[in-house]
Amino acid sequence: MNLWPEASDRLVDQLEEQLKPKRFLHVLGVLHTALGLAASHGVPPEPVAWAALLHDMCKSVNKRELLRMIERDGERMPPEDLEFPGIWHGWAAAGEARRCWGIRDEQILEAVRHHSTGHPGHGVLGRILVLADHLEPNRNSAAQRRPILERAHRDLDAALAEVLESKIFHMRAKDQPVHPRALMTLASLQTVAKEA
Amino acid sequence: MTIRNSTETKVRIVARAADDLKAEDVLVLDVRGICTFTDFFLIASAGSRNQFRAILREIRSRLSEGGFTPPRAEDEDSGRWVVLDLGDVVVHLFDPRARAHYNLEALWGDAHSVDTASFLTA
Repeated sequence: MNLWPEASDRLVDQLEEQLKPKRFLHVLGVLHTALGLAASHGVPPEPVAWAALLHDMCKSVNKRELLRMIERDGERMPPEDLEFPGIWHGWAAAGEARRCWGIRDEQILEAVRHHSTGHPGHGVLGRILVLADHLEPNRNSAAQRRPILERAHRDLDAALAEVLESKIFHMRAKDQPVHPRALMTLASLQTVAKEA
Repeated sequence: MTIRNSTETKVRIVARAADDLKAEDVLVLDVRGICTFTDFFLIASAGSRNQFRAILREIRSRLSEGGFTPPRAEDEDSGRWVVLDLGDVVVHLFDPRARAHYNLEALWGDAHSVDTASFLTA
């Protein structure tokens, strides 16, 4: 992808303009954490940076508009996702990424689509994005993040399983429905770990 | 197999409700020792949207009768893949196409499937 870095600079400018300051800082934090994880795991930085910058670009769009965008851009969001409006912004962002930024790399698009739930078939980029979304510096204190971040630098799958597990238990405790894909992503990680 | 009593009861209630309403390919997978967030998966398919809804309704109402709180009601009109997260038991109801697509069985193979019939008899 030779759109780097000019296009990404334009994207950063656009994000700064469109997102609330706190959300923009979050995106930069995700970029920082994701690039660090990419370096540790020998993953090329460009696709990781695109996925990180794009993942929340539709976060402040209202639900009705999100559905309209998903439909317009031909994003094939499965019906089970209709019950979880909190993840629609990932599908809308993937559509925008294709339409406005010419992104065709399915690894980037899949990572953006599924960044809230993970995906049992996620490649390394998708796993890095879910982790970076949780472990970026603005989210928690350094002391809270450090152990799991260190694990993520050594073993992506173990760290991802831990993050998903705590997310699932947290949602159950609050009596919120857990997305089936999050459950299955964790199940597949734990199954692979067990049988390895 | 030693299962905590209430877990076994839940599996039994759900398996019977699904079976009574003619769900297809009811499968119980034992994932204790593998997954930390649950003990059993129960997977079933429904041939039509009406059957899908009927099975879910039946499962919910029998769980309530059995003294369990069925998970919060979601819009069940997707008719494709609905997950009832009961904590120690996670129920997946699919239409056959979605079931083939997600192919959860493939994650575990035969190694962890439990004789479903044992949950259907008294």
